[in-house]
Amino acid sequence: MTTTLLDYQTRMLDALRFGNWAAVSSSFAGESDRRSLGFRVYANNWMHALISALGDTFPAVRGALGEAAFVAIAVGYVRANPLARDELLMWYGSSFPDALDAASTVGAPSLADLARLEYAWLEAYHAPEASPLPPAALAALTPAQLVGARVHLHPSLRLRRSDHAVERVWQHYRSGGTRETAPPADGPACLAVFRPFAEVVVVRIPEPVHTALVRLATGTRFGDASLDLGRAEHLEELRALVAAGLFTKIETQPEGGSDQ
Amino acid sequence: MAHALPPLGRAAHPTPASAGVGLKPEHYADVLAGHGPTLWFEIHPENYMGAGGPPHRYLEAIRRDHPLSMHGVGLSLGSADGPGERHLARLKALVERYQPQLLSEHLSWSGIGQVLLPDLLPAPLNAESLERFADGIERVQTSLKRTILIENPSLYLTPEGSDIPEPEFIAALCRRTGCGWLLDINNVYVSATNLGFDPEDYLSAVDARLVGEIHLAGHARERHASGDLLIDDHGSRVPDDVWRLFERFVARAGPRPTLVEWDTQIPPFAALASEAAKAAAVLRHWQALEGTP
Repeated sequence: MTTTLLDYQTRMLDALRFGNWAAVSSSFAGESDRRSLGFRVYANNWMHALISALGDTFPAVRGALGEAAFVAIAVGYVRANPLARDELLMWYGSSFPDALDAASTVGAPSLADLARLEYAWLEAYHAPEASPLPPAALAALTPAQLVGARVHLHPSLRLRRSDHAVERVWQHYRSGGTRETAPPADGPACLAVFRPFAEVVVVRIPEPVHTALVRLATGTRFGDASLDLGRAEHLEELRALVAAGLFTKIETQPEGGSDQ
Repeated sequence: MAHALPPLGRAAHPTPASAGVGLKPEHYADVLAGHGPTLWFEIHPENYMGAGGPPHRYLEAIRRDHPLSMHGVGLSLGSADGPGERHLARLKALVERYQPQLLSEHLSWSGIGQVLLPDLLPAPLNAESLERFADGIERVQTSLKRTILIENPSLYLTPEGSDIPEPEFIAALCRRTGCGWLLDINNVYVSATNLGFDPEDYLSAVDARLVGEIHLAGHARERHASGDLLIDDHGSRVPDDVWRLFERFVARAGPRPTLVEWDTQIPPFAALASEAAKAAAVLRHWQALEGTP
């Protein structure tokens, strides 16, 4: 029987995905035991590559779960969510946090949010370059100009809100901590993740600052976006983020003008 | 379209016939500190397909002082439904940005339909797959406006319906598309052990004029009742048997840009550089002889 390339590749890919050697064993030449050994190598290679990719992207989740539990969850995820044809390995695992949510991992309700923080870190790490605005540029504005200004946030910025203080747990495993000494993830927490210069920074921010940044990100003018920043320390938090490089551009309208 | 592309041969591959190493993030600091000043570096372009960030900062800095090779693993040239178009577009942008001296992919496939398995899977070598590979290579070369090199993969299985020996198959692809051959001598050794052929016979059948780059690496060995199984894990020094095959090939073919790959259990940069120095000594020896009247 003649087998087309398409038929062979379709059957081989399915057999590798589901570890079904019997379905393709007759598609290869050689002695039976050598053929099954060869199939095992290919079946291991792709699975290992995707589990390693998950481990690289979610090192804190891996640490929090422990190696055996992480691999068990990862194997199930990989079988159900193979790499899409045009997807890059570096981005693999975007739906892994949701899978952790669905798995309802006993005793670790913060795992999915921890994974969301790690994926936000990855996105910030590979985000486009942009030059942060010098803090002096903001200081040079009159109060009226500032109220009417629209700001461009750094393209690497990812904002996350969690019921759990996952950045403490993330920092613990990132600095080599063990499960035995892991801090509690008492929450809630709002986080700004961005890469103003060479390194990604993760900053815990008050809820009103988070709200203001979400508004600024959608083009709301500074005055309207910062309505809830009533307390002086919240304004100071925002100023510190600007000093850290959160803004890349500021657009002011002419004095007395309006483009509403 | 092949006739419109640059001609084959070393003139089309300006990387000097010296030694290079695979560039690992663990070694960025060593390279930027000036270690390995005469080396060229090879990357997997897939690791640099993000928009920005530290990988590009490091690569830009290293590219300023060293020749660069891009060794792709994601095009799936042998897929019956053709290479991935989005992936090709990403590769094209990266090639235009960094202008690598060498550019290569594999004689393998990874995906079909909507799914891709991140591995280099074996294709039957026959008239139908020759058409598919040739079409895929021509699409890539036309898009990138340059020739590429095709690497012989490590093999663990031989698909039924293969009736063209690999050296003959790759030579046919080179003749038809104008591409060149990235001869991975470790892969030849791994495949020969796993599938039961003589690596010397294989290398004797290689048309040396087509070879634009050589790869060397280490592999892992599993003992089985049916014989040893070699795993191409790039996780150790180049074994003596592979060095011997390399020296014999260079003695016959002359020096070529030669890369030492080390991708798992990554050692200190000095260990990788010492492997490259061994390759460089072989290349220099035969360069000197080539220059002798």
